[in-house]
Amino acid sequence: MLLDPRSKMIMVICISSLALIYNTPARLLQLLLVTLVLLFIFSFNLRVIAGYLKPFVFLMFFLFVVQSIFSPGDRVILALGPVSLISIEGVLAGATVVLRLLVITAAAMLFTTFSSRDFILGLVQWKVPYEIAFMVSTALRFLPLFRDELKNVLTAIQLRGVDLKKVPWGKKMVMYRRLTFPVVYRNMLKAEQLAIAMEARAFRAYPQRTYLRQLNLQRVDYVVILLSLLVTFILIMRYIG
Amino acid sequence: MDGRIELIDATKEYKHAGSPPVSALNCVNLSIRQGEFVGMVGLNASGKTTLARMLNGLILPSRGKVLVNGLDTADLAQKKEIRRLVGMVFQNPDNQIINPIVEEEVAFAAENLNLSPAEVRRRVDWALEVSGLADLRHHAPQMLSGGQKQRLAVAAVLVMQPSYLVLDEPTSMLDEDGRYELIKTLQDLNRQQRLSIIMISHRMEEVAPAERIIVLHQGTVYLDGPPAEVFRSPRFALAGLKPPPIARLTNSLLRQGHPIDDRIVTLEQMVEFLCR
Ligand SMILES: Nc1ncnc2c1ncn2[C@@H]1O[C@H](COP(=O)(O)OP(=O)(O)OP(=O)(O)O)[C@@H](O)[C@H]1O
Ligand SMILES: [Mg+2]
Repeated sequence: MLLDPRSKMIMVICISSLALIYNTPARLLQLLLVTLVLLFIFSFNLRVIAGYLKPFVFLMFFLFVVQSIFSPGDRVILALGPVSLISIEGVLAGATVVLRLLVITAAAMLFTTFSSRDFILGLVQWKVPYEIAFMVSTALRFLPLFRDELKNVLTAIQLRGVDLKKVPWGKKMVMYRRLTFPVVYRNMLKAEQLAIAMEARAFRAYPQRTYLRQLNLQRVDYVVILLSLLVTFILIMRYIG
Repeated sequence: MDGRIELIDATKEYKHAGSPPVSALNCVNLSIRQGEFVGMVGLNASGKTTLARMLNGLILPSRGKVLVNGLDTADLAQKKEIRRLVGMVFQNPDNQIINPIVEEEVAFAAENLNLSPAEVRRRVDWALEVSGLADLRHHAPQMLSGGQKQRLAVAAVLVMQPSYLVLDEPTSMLDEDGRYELIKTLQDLNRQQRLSIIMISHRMEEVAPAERIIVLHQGTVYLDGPPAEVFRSPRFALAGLKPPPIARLTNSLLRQGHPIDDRIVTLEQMVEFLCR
């Protein structure tokens, strides 16, 4: 569907706000279903969605376990002598946290349907200063670069005969801490070179800037934006009230 | 307005707290005319990058002056115009790409110049055309080959309609084909648009087609002249450099008394001479 990036941004913000406010697994599950339906409308298929969410699975499982154990509750499922370990309330709290995270990450997939450039353009046309929009989008762009750089350094270590899988956790932490410097340093060099390249191309030479392309809100965008805001508002009011 | 870049006693010292100052350039006097094709060579740390970045004011001289068409690079009020007049292409194609789509990458500099949208459009189309990227305009830059990426970097600067194009080792990360395409594009631009090219390279056969070669050595201009003279000069070897194979061939033929044009330094020139 050809929506203005701003409409998609609003949708992501609405869904994320609801996810933060809803506090029961049932509600969040409903929200997750709605989000998935939206993603299908934007022609994502299950495989792609699963692939996108996969890196978060471990984190979510970890959160679920931690929340389940540390949330106090009366209806105990598992106890170690007098100490209650897992309660129904705990499991529900864990499920809430995980579902919330799932909804937000799934909604954020909508961001991948437009370029960072459209993101800038959208914000600028809503009167956000160009520099700020540019900075935000560049920061977003640097995240994958950061990951690549980390991968490079890890490869370099493995090439020197270290088998990362066999390194115990404690040592691994020390190693990662040592890696921070080269990774950050290399990224700073990259950032510096990028800054020079931008400066050489008259970045911020004039306060005014022309844009090759213009984003135009279509009627469907207005409908989507208004509807999203309205529905979110009503849902929040009903949930709180 | 006189069309030239002039360095007058340009000197650059890098100072960092805690380490002794490094003298990168020492009293350099140079004049580069508009329309010239200049190759710049020298060993590592001879000051090439420092000099190149001085040409558009990315680096200001610690002493001395750099004038671009009469405008002083130290004059803040002229910065915009100098940046526009002197375009820069850097070594690593990946670190200078700012936008996610080829066409938008090319538009970036033009958009910064406060032009009308129609003018931006016109310049983008023109730059894509002359750099041979028109068919790739909607691609993501990551999908391009190294040579295409460097031509993209050239196009991204051309939209500013510069008079001078400075390239700092633009071919060092390219393969044979990529280098050939880039050099060809630069030569066409130089001839057809009268764009001055100032190209730094460690490969002598790349700078051999230039009209003029400048050799930097320990921060000074050690040699400056037409390629054939520079390659033949004893100082060229003293600067730690080696002429390209064709220039060496010409020289040994000359020494053995063969009647050959002593200006021949490139393969094309040699072929043309032999076929005559
Ligand atoms: N930012 C800097 N800070 C301190 N010293 C520097 C800096 N940039 C360059 N130098 C020093 O200045 C001298 C000239 O460096 P420059 O980069 O101009 O050489 P170059 O001819 O481009 O070398 P290369 O062929 O390796 O690119 C070197 O001794 C270098 O160490
Ligand atoms: Mg250099």
